[in-house]
Amino acid sequence: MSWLNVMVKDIRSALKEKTFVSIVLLQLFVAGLASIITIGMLVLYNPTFLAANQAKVGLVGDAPVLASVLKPEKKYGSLDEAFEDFYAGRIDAIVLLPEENSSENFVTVYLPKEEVVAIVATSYLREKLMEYEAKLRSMNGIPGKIPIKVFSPEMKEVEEPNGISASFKFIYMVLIPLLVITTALSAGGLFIDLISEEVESKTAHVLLSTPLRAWEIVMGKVAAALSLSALLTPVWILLLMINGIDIARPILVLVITLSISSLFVAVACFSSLSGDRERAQLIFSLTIVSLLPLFYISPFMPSGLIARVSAGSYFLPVEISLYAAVSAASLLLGVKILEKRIRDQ
Amino acid sequence: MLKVTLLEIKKSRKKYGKRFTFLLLLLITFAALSAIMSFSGFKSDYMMYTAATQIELKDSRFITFHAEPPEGRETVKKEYADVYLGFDGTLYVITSGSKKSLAATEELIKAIRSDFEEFLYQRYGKKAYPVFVRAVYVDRGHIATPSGTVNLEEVRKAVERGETEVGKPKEKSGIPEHTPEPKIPSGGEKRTFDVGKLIFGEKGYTTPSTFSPPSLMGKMIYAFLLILPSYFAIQVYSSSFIEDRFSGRLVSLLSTPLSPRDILLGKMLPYFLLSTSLVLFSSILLANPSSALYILPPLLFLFSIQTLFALLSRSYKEMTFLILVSSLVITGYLFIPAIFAGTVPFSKVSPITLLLSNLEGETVTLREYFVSTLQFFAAFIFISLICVRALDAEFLEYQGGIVERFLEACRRVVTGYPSLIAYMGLSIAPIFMVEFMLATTLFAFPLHVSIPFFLMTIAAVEEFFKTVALHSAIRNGLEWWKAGVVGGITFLIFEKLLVVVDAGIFSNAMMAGMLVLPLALHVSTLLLFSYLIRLNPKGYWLAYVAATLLHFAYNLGVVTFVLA
Repeated sequence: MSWLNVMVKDIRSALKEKTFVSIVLLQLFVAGLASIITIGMLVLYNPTFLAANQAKVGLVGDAPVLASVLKPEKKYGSLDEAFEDFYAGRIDAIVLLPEENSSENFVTVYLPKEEVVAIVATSYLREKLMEYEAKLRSMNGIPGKIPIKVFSPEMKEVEEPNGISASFKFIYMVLIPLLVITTALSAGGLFIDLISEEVESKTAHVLLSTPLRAWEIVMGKVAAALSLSALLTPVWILLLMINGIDIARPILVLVITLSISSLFVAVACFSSLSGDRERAQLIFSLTIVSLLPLFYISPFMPSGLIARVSAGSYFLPVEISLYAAVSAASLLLGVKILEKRIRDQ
Repeated sequence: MLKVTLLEIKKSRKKYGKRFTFLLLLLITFAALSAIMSFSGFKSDYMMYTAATQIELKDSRFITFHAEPPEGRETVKKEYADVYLGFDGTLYVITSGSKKSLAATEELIKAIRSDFEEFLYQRYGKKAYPVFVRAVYVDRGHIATPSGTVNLEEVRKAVERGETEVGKPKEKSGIPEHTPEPKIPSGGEKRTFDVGKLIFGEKGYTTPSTFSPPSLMGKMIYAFLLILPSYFAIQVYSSSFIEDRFSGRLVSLLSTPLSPRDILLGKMLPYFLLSTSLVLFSSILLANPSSALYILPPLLFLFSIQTLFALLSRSYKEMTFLILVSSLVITGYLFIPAIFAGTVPFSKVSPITLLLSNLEGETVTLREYFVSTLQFFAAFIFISLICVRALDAEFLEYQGGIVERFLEACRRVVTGYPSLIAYMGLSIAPIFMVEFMLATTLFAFPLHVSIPFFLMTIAAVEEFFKTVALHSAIRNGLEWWKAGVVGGITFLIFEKLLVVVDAGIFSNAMMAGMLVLPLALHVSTLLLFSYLIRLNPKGYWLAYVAATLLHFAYNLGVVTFVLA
């Protein structure tokens, strides 16, 4: 029996207890939640996503330039009249500008509260009011807006992209790093449970009475936890690809995931020194919660690197090597210290 | 009960000595510092795109190299660069059409426009901004409301007062009564150009380019601060509970005259008090003590669900991952609707939305609070009842997988018709929550895959809860067909009650208008299940799959009919 046997035993038990299924569910929910957040942001900040960028608008006030841009459904003599149509659902928004001038115009827009149509109307009005602003600027001798054209490589003019960067950034800079982190988190959590079960049920003593050495027990658990990461990563990469998301360098993403998982398992090794599962999991959770914000604060931290590697952007191989080296060193140190503790117990 | 609480505190004090507490405090300080550092902003988009350019471009998101137009076109075509920025009297961008290239194009155009706005501001100052806009949100109820029922005079007065929301009572408005004068910052002020935001922050007006729907996302961090520390307290509770179960301490406690309810509540109490204190402390820091009211119902639910998993899991690792999945789903249930706060009615299903509105100074009605917290209270009672019944020595020794253990626990709950009715009624809350969250998977796959998947999973969830009750009822001697009919009718009644309670949050077109068909569905799936169980008492899974497939066929039929 060697550490490989320990690893196989632990993986079998994880599969039998549906732990693996729970983790895949976890990943699926992370992806589902991230997707709905993306859609939420797209809807809120780019309602053209709803494929409904037309709104019925009523105008109140003496504002000929605004009227020429806005092309309202109807002009009203008073707010009361406009509100009657607004409440009856004949118009979606009321635009009020009592008197127009060329320098300062304070427009009040009345929108329905808690109705999806308000999002559509807001988007529509933003475009129209920007157009109005550009027109007034031109009338005042100020450049209205900067013209920019977009072409395909064949120099055919194409539509200006709108709303794509938000989802792109969310997928590569938030979702994929989150999936890497949850994979590593699962590996760390699993390691603590595997060690605690062995120590608290006293089976570690039984194992130590066999030719198996303490480091082989710990290495077996480490290998089981990292195998879980190695199994999970292709699952979520595949799920992303099915969903039409390109992962430019899947092998390197797997290497980074394994590095981060090793780092988290190293943290789990140190946490396990606290003696029992309850305290180990608490220290582990607190340490990971502390580390997570740091993952995002610099472009060279894991989140930035994962984003660039998975999106096919520029990176230096030394960045990946450095993470792999630091993780491996931390893991070896953690294993060494934990092994000594188990041997001494 | 207090005896168990004291025992639990004694155990924790022994475990969490001075050195360990010091280590925890160090970690908490580290977590706080790390969170503060993250306020400087996320920088994951650095060097994300490559741009070939004819003109100089300085942007940390772009790696750039100089290229003349023909060469630039080729680099984009061969995808060496994501975009090409050229100038032939007019600025132009060449994109390959890939998602990354389009995202780079969008970012580049935004950056150029932002630079242009900065140029305008520096050159012309205030004159470059002839338009300011502000939004007033008017509660008009449902579109179908006859206009005659609206008090236009009241609306007009509220509008004249400059309120940003009209249609329901408002305590006070921070908006000035007269048209405000926009204030342009002095030249020495460092800014990234966002005049609208500066004005918006001070006076409620914005420039057209920054005019956007209402969003409470900025306040989301406060909600996280309120709830996150309690997650750790609950984690310690469930760890302590499962440790007591595996070490045999729970069985020892059960051999004393203490009732299972006292043991459960006694063990939960110190951690619940700790969580409550943490929430109250954060609420007071936010100068809004009522915030705690929105957090405590979800906490109760979290406590109960973690107790259930600690009772059902066969090992530590099984519990860890069940808890991870459930915590994530519950967090999603709480926070995702809040993203849509103020724009779609269903956002109010989460008490976090109400909390954010409250922090924003809006009034939250008692009805809104009741609707958003009802499912948490109901789910807490439902799960706690199962836990209390499952807390006996025989159950703790019971060998079996997690579902078998759940079936065994429910067998102790559904013992007659009254408990069958109570089970069906209370189970609506967790079913609703699970189904609400399952809706998120609709966006995780292409729709032609996710819609049937969603319909299948909601059928599986509903039938799971229903058939578990029926299985227990039949095992406890209730007649199969009577239990099936009573279970089906009761389930439908409570399902419809939920729709009535939640009216205004969800459209009732799909549910409230239909009575006969759902009744036939719920009764027939349960009759099918109970008939199969009668034929083969050990064939739970087969009977469950049959009931689920029947339910799925119904769901598919209804959706096809509605879509048609």
